[in-house]
Amino acid sequence: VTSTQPSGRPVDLDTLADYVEGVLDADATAEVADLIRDDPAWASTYAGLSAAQPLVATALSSIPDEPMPVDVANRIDGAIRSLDRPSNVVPLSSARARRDRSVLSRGWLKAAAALVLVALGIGLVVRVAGTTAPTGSKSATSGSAGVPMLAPPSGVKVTASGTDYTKSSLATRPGPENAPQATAGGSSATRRPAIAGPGAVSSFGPDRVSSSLRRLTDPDELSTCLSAVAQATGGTPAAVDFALYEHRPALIIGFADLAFSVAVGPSCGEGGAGAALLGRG
Amino acid sequence: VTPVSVEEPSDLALLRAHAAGDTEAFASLVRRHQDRLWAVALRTLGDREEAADAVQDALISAFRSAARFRGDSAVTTWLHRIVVNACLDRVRRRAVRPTSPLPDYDLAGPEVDTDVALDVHAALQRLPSDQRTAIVLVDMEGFSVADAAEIMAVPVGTVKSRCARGRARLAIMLGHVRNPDAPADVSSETSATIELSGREAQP
Repeated sequence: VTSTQPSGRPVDLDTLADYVEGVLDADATAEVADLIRDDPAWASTYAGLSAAQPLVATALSSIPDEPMPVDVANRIDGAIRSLDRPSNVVPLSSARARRDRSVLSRGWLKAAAALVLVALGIGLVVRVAGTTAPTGSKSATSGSAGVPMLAPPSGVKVTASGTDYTKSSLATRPGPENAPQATAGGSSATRRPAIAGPGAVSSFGPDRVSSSLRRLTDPDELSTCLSAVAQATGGTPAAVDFALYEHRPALIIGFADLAFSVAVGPSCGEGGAGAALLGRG
Repeated sequence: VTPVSVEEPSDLALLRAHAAGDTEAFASLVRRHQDRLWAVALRTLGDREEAADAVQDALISAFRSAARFRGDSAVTTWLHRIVVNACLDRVRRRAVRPTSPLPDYDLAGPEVDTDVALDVHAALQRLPSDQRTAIVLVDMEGFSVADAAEIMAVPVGTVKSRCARGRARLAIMLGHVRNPDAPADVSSETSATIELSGREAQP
């Protein structure tokens, strides 16, 4: 025979958990104690929770520790080694503000990405028409504004939009007009890029290239990276954009023969890092 | 010949060396803590790719902001705080992404009325992210409540409350506590509805 009666107050698991942990104030503690004493539902749940504490602790401790996988460790090590010294980088607060703005404008990302890709296509059309500046040297040349410009791998259009791409925006194909059908390097939509010879530039802005991506502005480094990307994807890189992917520095690569783009990290092609793929559409 | 004892530099010494231009110091610091940072990220996010991205983002942030580290907390606490923030940023972004919503957990929902206890991993991922993070830090990674509070930037009492509430939910999901609202209890006079207040103790 029990003298307890249902209180009519539903059992509040959070309050009971706080009671068990001893984090309620004095009034709340007294109130819960009364409920446990008088209400069978509260009493049984309280008893169950108290008894379950060691079982939960055992369950949690049964999960073995797992070291960081080697590939992840290598990727992170490569990313860190490609960074500049702390004094040369963007303050964290600025990065956060940029990220916040990016989140706020997420709805515009697809449209922005589409515009960039259209711009890439226009650039390629211009190049095909023979109006772009031929360069054959590994060293930087100067643009009309006196800004150093990249001599990119032949057959590949290079831009530095600084756009913050997302996985969904990578799903957009650069467009058939981007296929390098008659480029200076002679590559075609079905051939691997001829990335050792002279190329073309129309909208490369070094000031928009993240410091962590500077290594890839070297044509040889970019060629190595694109070879790794071609090997990893089976596609023919046709356009690259020095930009961001999910708020971090990335090279966005569009293909002549694939219906999506990929994002690679600063360590792309470096010391056996492979393509250092960050994401694909 | 007496062996020469080489003393390992402290975390703070490595961070200071990095800020002063030592190109290897930060990588050494990362190697020292990467497994624990990885464990926190993986258990908080429940997804290897997301965890890898979060740790990388966090370490890049730490690399860049090292010169501003004031030494108010241990370096490892600081690193974990940055990783936890990166993880929670991702959780928040994932929560507003319609294609991959976080699973809702409703104690009165049908999934907890089954007799099949959930796997610990799955149960952990069903916890609200703040409770999951607190449990990962305190119960799984062995941080003190005070250190976890510093990492999560909340009062000590809040960490205790989050841990307690998370453990209570786990107890039900793992089958250690019967949900009073479960079918087996419907005929019982003890049948009741469990409610989640959503309030947190913040002493």
